[in-house]
Amino acid sequence: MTEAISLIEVTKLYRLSLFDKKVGIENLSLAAEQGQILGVLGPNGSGKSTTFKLLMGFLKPTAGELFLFGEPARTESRRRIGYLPENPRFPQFLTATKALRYYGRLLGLAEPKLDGKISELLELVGLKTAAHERIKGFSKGMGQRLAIAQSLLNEPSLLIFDEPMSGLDPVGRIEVRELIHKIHRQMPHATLLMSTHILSDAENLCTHVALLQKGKLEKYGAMADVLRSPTQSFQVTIRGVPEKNQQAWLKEWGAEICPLGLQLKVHSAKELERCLHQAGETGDEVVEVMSEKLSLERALFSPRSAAAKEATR
Amino acid sequence: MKPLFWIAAATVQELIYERFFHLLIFFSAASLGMSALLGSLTYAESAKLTLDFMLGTINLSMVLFPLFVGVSLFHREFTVGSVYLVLSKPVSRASFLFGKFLGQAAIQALVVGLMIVLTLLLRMRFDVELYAVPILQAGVLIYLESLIIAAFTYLFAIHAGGVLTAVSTLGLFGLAHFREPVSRELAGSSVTTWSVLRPLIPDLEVFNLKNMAAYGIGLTATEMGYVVLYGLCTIAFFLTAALLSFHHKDIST
Repeated sequence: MTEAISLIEVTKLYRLSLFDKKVGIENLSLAAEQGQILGVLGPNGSGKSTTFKLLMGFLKPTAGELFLFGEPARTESRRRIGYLPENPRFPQFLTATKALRYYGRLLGLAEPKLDGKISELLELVGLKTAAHERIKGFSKGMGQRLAIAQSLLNEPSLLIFDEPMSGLDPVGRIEVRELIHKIHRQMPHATLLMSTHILSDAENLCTHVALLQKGKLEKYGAMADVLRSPTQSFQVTIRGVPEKNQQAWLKEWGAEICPLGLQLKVHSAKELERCLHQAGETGDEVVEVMSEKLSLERALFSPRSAAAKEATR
Repeated sequence: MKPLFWIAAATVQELIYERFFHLLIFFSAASLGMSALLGSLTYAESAKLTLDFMLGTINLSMVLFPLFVGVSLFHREFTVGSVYLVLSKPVSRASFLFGKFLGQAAIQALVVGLMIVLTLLLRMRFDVELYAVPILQAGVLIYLESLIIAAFTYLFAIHAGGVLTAVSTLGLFGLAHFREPVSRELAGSSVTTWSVLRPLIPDLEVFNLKNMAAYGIGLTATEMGYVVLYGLCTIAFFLTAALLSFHHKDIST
């Protein structure tokens, strides 16, 4: 399958003064295949936006090569890309419809088709009622949704969203998250690159994750692999344990008393089997066994996390 | 239509909604009115003095206009970040820069045109010769000079902040007007910096036809042709320099 994006040992140094340079990204190699939702994660200054701006041609790489759809990145490649910048700003005097028409024209879309597309996109992002309102009066969330709409005008094969949820209130975040879900359902073959430092958003949306730290790729992998813990743990709830059995559970299994009875944690399938066997022997009723999923935060940032090490390439 | 023209059209629209633009229009209109009033208050040669004042006002307005509008229009694209939405489309940096310039040039043409028409209308009030050709010629040259200033602004705005752009443009504008007197002063001395700089600084005095126009003296068609060609070449030179600079610029707000 052709890679939608590919960065090969890309370095970007920012010149601060005549003798001083700052590393934006260093020897970064990264690829995303068609249909992937790749979450590019990392703290502020880790190189997420730099990576996206390099792909869009806003920045010139100091070293390395960038490919879009298997070809060196160039102006014409942008015909197949939809880009959402961090904190998008529109000409304030335009209305939502006029802004989309302007960007559609820049994409070279034909007028009759463009009108239909604008209407469809305004419907998709929930701005149909504000179609003829000036952008000047838009809230941050409305602006963000309009920016998402402009990124979809050309039915792109690659979407690059730089911090799509940045600066939004919880409702706005949910709206944008839902919108991204909707877009992915409608365009399953499009690749989506999304930067965020909100891990729960990435966990909810992405099929793959790449973690950048100080301009370097720290971890990369499919979300399922990153979240799969090799030492999977289970939470077991036992109801109505008689007094005489309780001590064994508390001491041997480190159980804790809960409103239902006892709750304990086991760290392997074998241990779980032994636990269930013991409950069967003592006649205690196991009411719930829950597999504990590793959170993205633990998977990526816990230094002892085996999943994190496994996901590292 | 090419992206360049869509950008130019959007720039014209943007300028029409720009508060700064309204302020400059008001300033220009008020200055023209004041010139007419001052000219009519003079005891002798009021028609000549009115024309002189009015052409001076048009010239001043068209120095301030490209300077502030250029900074506001072009530089703001980078500081605010609206440039990303345009350049994320298959639009070259050249189309963006020339499109913005073309839009600004169209508005400047409209403003100069209106001011010249107003000057001619006021001139008709006096029972004197209209001097239409010299006035129109002066208008064309003021317009060309304003485009050169806009090109200076674009060149500086790519790398410098708003204030530095304005100061640098004004500095270059000043040098360009005093190029020949400075050269005469330094003739014979061994100031090498000036000899390197001089060919890069255009002579904006060649566009100064105000005094001659006030006396009804114009340029011949050949002279006018040369001056216009010089102006166009100067604009092309500074816009090309701006483009080369823009082409290598990292766009990062």
